[in-house]
Amino acid sequence: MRKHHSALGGVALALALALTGCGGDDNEPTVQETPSQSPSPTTPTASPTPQTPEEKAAAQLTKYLEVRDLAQRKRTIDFKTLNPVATGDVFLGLQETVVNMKMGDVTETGSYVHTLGEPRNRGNSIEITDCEDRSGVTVKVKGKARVPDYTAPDGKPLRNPAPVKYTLVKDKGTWKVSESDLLWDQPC
Amino acid sequence: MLRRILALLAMLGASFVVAIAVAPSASAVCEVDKVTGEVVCDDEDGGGNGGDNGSDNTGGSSTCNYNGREIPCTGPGGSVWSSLHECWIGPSAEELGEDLIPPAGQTKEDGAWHVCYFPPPGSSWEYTWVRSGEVGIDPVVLAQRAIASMDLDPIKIGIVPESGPNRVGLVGLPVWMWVDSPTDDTFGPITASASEGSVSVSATASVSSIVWDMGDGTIVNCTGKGTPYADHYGKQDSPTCGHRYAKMSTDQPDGAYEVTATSHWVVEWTGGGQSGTIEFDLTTDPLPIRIGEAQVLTQ
Repeated sequence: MRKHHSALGGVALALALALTGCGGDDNEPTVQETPSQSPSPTTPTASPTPQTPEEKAAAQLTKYLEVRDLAQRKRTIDFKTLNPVATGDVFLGLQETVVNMKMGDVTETGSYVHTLGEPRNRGNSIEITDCEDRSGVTVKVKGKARVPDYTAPDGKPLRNPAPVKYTLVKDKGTWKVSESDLLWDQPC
Repeated sequence: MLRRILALLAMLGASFVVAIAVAPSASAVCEVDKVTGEVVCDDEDGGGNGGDNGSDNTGGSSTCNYNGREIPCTGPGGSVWSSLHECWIGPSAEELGEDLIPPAGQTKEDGAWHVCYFPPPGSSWEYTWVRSGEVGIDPVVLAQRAIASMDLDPIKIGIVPESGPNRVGLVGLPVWMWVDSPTDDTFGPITASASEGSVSVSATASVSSIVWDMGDGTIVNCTGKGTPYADHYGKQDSPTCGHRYAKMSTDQPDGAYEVTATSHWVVEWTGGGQSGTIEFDLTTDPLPIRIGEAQVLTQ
């Protein structure tokens, strides 16, 4: 299990990126399956630790959650950070969410705590369930806090924490978050 | 209910014939709606926001091209694809509560700033200036709006034996099912129209059949409203829609069979030089029906 506080996620992310030794332009993936060719370092460094696909996918999900949480707090999209980590329904869904939040005058403050479960490699995709704790998040509609923040289909307040299953797919050699599913009727 | 129908219809893009399961199912994908605070579940088979995977686009008239690949012409929230801007044109800045100055040489009569929803990868989250009439509305989207305005509901179940704590039917006796007090918005036909600019679409919706899940593993498919039971029918079978339970319901949860009725809606629409059919289902909440045996009940 990996625990990640979204406000502190940069540390984990920086570590993940450092391990992959990746860069690239704004629209290119930041994590690659194969090591890139680069000039020999002039100073001795530790050899990069190989990452499994599951570890790479988890690092990408961690990054995505940070991007998503920031997008929802700021109600804007930064494609430079979203493009490398998301695709498919999740990519479109976050844009729509941000727009709907602005239209509905919904704000979100505070930080989520994300705890990722063990990745499940399905071959063409990797599934990872995030136990999402929103204790530190306040949702306001037109300036008034909404209590409860969310209501489950059974009419009860949505449990907290709640598990969210993410599916990551390979996109041009990089694992990207493609789908999410809130498992509202299951405990973490 | 209406919101869920709208969301599903919007996500289905340009399909002429689509099937929608409204009730959350085992394959439902759920997410929170930040605005309403509700957890919304969509069926995976009918889901998808457009996007690049294309697997959810079940065919139809409106397929657009982007960078050599096909994408639905309808994007998030019913937004319409613009080849010129290479994005789906979403709500205007004004709808998002922002009063922006038009670009140099333009006035508010000439166009409006709009959100651009991008298929991956996105380029800029800045508003895009869209000239009036530059992006035509997809007739399918108008058909979906017309359907949404109908405010359709599942049927009201009519059934004998009736549901209730003191009501028990008997094994082997006829069960009658019908649409109780049918209305335009539970059985149709109902017609509505929607228009934007010069494009207008008219849609007529009707229930073509009702699938009754009797809770004992039996599915009864009935066309028409069924026949309301009256005492003078005695122990006759329903002439239009009926069933007989073979076992008592005592081994069921709460000692009752859970009966649901799923109405299959067919919507014929025409307008904007196109026509098509949209199909979807609406399912009732489960209704408990208790079934016993005469010898047990008289003991």
